[in-house]
Amino acid sequence: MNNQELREILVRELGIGGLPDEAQDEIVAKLGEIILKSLTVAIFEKLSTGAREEFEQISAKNDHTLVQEFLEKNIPNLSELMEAEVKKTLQNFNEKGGGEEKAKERGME
Amino acid sequence: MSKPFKFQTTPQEITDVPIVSSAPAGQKTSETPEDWGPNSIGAQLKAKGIGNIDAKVRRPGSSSRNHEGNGKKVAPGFLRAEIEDIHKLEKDAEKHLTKLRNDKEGVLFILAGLKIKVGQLSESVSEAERNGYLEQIKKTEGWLAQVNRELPNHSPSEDQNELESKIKRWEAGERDWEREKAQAKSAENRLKNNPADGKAMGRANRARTEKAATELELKRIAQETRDLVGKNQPPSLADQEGISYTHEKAVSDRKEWEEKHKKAQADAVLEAVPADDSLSPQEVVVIPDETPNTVEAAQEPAADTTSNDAPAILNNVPAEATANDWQEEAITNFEETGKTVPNWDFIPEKTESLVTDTPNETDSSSEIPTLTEMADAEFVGPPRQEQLGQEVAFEKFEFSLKTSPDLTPKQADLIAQLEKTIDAIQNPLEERVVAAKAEGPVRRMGKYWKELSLPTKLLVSGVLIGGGYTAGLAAAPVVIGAGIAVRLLGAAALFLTVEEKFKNDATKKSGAPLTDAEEARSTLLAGALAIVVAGLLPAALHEYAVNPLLEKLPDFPTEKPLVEATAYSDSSLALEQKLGEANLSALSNVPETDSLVVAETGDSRWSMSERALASGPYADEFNAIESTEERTHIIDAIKDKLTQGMTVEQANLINVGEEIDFSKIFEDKDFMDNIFSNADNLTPAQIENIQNYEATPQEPSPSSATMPAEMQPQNSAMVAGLTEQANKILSNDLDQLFGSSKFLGFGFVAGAASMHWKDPKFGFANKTIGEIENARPVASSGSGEKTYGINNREAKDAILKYVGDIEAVSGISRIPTETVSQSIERALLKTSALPK
Repeated sequence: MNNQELREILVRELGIGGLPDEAQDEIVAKLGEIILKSLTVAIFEKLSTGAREEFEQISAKNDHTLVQEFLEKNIPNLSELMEAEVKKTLQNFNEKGGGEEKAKERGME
Repeated sequence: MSKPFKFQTTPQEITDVPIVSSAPAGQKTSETPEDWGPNSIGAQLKAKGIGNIDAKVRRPGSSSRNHEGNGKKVAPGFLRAEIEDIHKLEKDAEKHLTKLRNDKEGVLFILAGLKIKVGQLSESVSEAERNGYLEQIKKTEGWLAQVNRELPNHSPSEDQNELESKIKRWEAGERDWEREKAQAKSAENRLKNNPADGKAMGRANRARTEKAATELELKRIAQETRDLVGKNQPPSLADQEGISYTHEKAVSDRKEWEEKHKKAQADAVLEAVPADDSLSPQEVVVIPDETPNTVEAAQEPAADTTSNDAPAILNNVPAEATANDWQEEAITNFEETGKTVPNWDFIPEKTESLVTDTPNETDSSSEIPTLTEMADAEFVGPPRQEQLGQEVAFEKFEFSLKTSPDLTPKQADLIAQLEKTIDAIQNPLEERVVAAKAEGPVRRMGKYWKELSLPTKLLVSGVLIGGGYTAGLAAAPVVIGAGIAVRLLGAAALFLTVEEKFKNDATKKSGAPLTDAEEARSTLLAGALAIVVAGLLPAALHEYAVNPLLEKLPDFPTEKPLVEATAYSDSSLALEQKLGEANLSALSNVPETDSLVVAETGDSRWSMSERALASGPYADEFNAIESTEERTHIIDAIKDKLTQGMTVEQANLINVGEEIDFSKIFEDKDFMDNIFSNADNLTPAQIENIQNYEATPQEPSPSSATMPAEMQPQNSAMVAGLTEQANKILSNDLDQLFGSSKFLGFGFVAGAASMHWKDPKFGFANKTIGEIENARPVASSGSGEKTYGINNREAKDAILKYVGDIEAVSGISRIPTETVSQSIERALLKTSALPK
């Protein structure tokens, strides 16, 4: 990771300080992927069948302004949605065995 | 006797249509019953009390539709509910047709795979095994026949064409896979010979990634086929509504009804028509023999109808009121039983079959096997190492070094725990995806994620996960990588717009100008969203948006990653090599020699000739030569042989990804022996000549691909749009490269305003890429003398690396005669969603 400070924060919070660097990178990248997949389905869930059809039509026009307007109209709280999915994923991660606290319990930190 | 059926006066009187032809000659006719003459049939019938219409009674000639021919439109709202039911039936029929077509697509694919497999069987295979495949083909053809019986307008020649097309596609996919296996092996060999060579490592990683991508793609095609066959489809509408009136019953009911209907019609008419033979021919209305236009009408299986009982409905229909089409019967049935929609399940139940006389059928009740089952028998595709199923949208997570002997027990324990944790997170998410029917978008989004380099993934993940902390960071995460990679994935314009929005939102929230860290965060979050939105784009549009050139490639199975996942890495080659090791297990059946070389960025025919010599059938001999002059002589000879007949321009023209097969040259033993012998006996004059050349004198200027005509902007509006986008991207990236104090102590200036860019004599803005490459900086900036642009070594290296990054991400090859800005425009044109 290019930013050392950010990396240190992540490693500490995720409780993966005891792992080799390569493994740390893998778990961080994997969590990022899960968060984005979670966000993808969250956006998809918010679109009704009609809205999905509308999205297809808009997408076909290749006009990014229209795409953005559509997202703002149908998912006005996109930033909050992003934050919510991140929180959900990280909470799950914590509850199911990851995180700094669990790492301390295992004596890894 | 039997009188012909006559509708003559019956429909007319009931619907108040005057009987124009039955009026006695000379009598005036008119349009209203009151005007009917006393001797008219209408008047007579009216006198008998026949004439009031019971809205629920069905009359011949009177349909719930605006049936052309009865001369009268139904009142608005008449039988509205029934009409809606008809529309529902039609929609369900359409859904069933669609499902059937999908099932047929899957069956055709299985059949194609089986035929490919049979074609590949060697002579030594046992007869039992061969017969097993042939038996399976016969069974699959039986399934195809079942589907075709239900599909209207089926054409056998279309099936044959479709089958051939699928076989071609699969074979093309397999050829790609074989080729990429060979390339991966070649790259591995080169890496083994030069383990410290970063370029070799990069090539090896790229080759592995491409091979793995094609393998995944072949698996994905197989997975799609499995889904098409219907094993994983959600219950049909009929099932969801609990409707139980089966298709078979509907067909048998219809047939019976038709027979009873004709009789009932005849009876009704005979009862209603008075004993009057004075009817003119015009009054005789022939009962239309309508063919219902539903699915079952076109392809009616031989239903096993043993019951001769008329459907119950007919018992309730008054004799004089009968229907003249089957839909009305279904409507009435619905009123009686509440159920009309048949069960459209295609896969026959074990106890019930739609077809009883299939000529090729051996077991009509067997289910279509999944491709997993077929894969176990190694029907098609490369050897499979894991079950088909979830790996496309949600792969099982395993650390690449989980089996490393260097791990301590605690680390191994933590790794095992984290793998379980990830699975525990993914499983409910996967259920959520299935429930939302979002497999397609999630799969596509996952594909883009894979295409990003590891540093980019880490940056995006870092900002997502550590989002709350980034504002307080001392230094902003570098975002050039994320910016270019994401922008050129096909969501370029959207990314820029969203990035601006995120930055504006962040500014509004804080009220203060954004710090570098906050700006970087906005950029990365916009990148993340662009990946998600690109995944949400419908697949067909996305393919067009991201890989327009692939539309031109015949028989290309599906999209391949345009971005070389490892090419963009600037610091994690070691990790990416390890991640790629998982792909090495497939490198088992690859030929040992390699005469096929693929052009990479910066390549020329000369350098490719050298690579072919170093890794091909003459590798041992060539690599053993220590003398540079001898090696140069040999490479030159190969290159000259290769470019024989080409103009200088043609010889210099090579595109990234273009393959050159040197096998024909290497197979010419006399020629090769001659070259090596000559090299061994170079004269002093020849040696001096070679030494007097510059480093690579015969090497023409690097790959000089020209933009294909079809990729050039088609109109001035497009050109303007393209230029605007390119300028935005460039401006942003130049800020990172040359703006602010991050770079070599220059002050807070925008990158585009820096002297490196805009200096009239040395600035990169007005220099072509060729000029930048060939420039010889006079001094390093460290010497105290200020130098700019092409005159500055660090700046030159930075801008060339930037150009290389654009190429790596977009797949274009640099053109020496274009500027950096033009290069970005071309990259955008190739990867953006601008129309052709």
